[in-house]
Amino acid sequence: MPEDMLDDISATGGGGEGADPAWAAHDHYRLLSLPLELRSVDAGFAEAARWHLAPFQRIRAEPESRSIDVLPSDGTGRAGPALLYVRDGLTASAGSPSEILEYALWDIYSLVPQWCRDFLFLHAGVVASNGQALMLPAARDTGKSTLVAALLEAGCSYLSDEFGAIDPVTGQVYPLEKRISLDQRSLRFFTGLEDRLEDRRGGSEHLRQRYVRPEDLDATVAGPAVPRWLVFPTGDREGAPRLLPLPRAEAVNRLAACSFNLYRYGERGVVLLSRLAEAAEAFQLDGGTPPERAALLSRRLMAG
Amino acid sequence: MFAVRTTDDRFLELLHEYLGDHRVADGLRDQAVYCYSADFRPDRQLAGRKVARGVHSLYLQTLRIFRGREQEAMAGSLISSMRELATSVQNEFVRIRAGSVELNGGALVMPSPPEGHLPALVALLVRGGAPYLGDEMLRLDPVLRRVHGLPLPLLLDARDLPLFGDIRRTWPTSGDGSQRRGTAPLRHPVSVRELGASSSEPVPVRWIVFPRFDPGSAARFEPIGRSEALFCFARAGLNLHVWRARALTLMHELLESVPVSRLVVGSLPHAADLLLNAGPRAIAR
Repeated sequence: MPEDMLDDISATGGGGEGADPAWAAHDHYRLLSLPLELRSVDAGFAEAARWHLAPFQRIRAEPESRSIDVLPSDGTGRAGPALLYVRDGLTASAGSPSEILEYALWDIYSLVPQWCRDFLFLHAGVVASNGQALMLPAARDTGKSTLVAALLEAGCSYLSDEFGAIDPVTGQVYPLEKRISLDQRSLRFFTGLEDRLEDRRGGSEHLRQRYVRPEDLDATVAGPAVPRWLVFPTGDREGAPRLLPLPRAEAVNRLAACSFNLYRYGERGVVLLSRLAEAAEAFQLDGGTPPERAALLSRRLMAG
Repeated sequence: MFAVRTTDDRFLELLHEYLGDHRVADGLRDQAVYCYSADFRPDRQLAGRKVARGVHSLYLQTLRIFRGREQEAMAGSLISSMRELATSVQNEFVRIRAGSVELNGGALVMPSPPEGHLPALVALLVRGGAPYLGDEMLRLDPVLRRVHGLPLPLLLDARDLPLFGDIRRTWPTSGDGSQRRGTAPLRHPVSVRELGASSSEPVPVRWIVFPRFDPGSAARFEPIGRSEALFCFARAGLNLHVWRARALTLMHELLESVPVSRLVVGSLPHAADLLLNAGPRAIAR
């Protein structure tokens, strides 16, 4: 982002007060209990955002919607006219349409565990088999998303590649079925997948990640499901994949370490995680490639 | 974080009586998200030795939220607003409009549509020895199914204050509680301390009673069907737009697990006595 453009960013919003910038698009979304209103002067950005947020699109506005405006800037970015990203009246970023799209996706998904206090969130991939959820809590760069994609290819249904949204009332994990984000090099594990992807259309062609829909892997989105297995993948890729059973106390510890918002729930959150660990089998997963890991999980845990 | 500024220091003293436990150091003033401004106008002398009492205004940011003559009522308006703002984001709880006290280690929960006399009913229970949880708003913890109270004073309808004439008010009421027709009822803060009682820690729900205010009727319990109870419970929900069907699941589970009644409230004191006498038996079931 050019520094002179940063100098122009004000804390009072990028658009003129009261001026209608001629919106090219005005869309509404709801991600779990987070309602969003997204307006854009750039039709290409709006179209790309619609593709990424399609699972969450709503027909009409909802109460207490957070507002996101994508407005024109006075400067220019590296690739085409520059835009400003303004959330709730505060300018948060500026750049080309693809830079703003990348920022928007990061910002919107970051907002979910902050805003949606009615769920306890884990940093976890989640899939389901026979109505039961398999949660993959893990830190970044452990291959969660690739493993989720591999499990979908193996026949599981999809809940999320990044957010395990646990309902405190029922203990079920709810879907947040965002597009699965993969590194370009991860596509090598999926024969023919790159040819089926539609993520490079329009304003998305310069994004760094690749984005996969469940249907690109012939998978469906699952409904809320009770977690039956907790599998903690590690970054160890050596040798064949192997599952190591974990004691419940250790599972609770690791779940707590993977939580986005345990601080909101405090003691009650630990109780919720303990219930989760009590009702599920817990394992550490080492070794193997994502498809090998997925095959092991399908064979050992989800068969029958 | 809230900031309050005023043209009359006595208002700050009044607030200190009721909100003193929540006061923070002046150095944190810049962190205030919401600012209340209390503008007090002096009385004016008119011809014929008449006095026109000053009309005071309370603003939240730039929005006027109170206009009247009584400091206590202004304090009630401020506390009500503050309570609403502070709890409106607490969606880790299912928030309901209800009064509640603790009886024998469990919560008596009284879900209700907006009803000005509910806080007075709660205050009577508290004065009768039941630890306080909430006068008209509660937070239900969906994990442990406990009721969490709010550490704020009760806000009583000014017309109910004569019921508490025997308690030693820290800040005696300056007005007579009368008001113009068509205006919202004035509400006065009354602290748990003034009621000679204590606040309760979070406790499990043990008894759900739906009050129906019917002045002149004899106070009595009535049965209530499960469907109607769920409807009444849902109607009292304050953040159902967040929890949606999961809130109904929680409410249904609570209704299935504890005694449920309707209470016809004719006389507030009689209704309170009925609840205090029946409470131990109901909760022991």
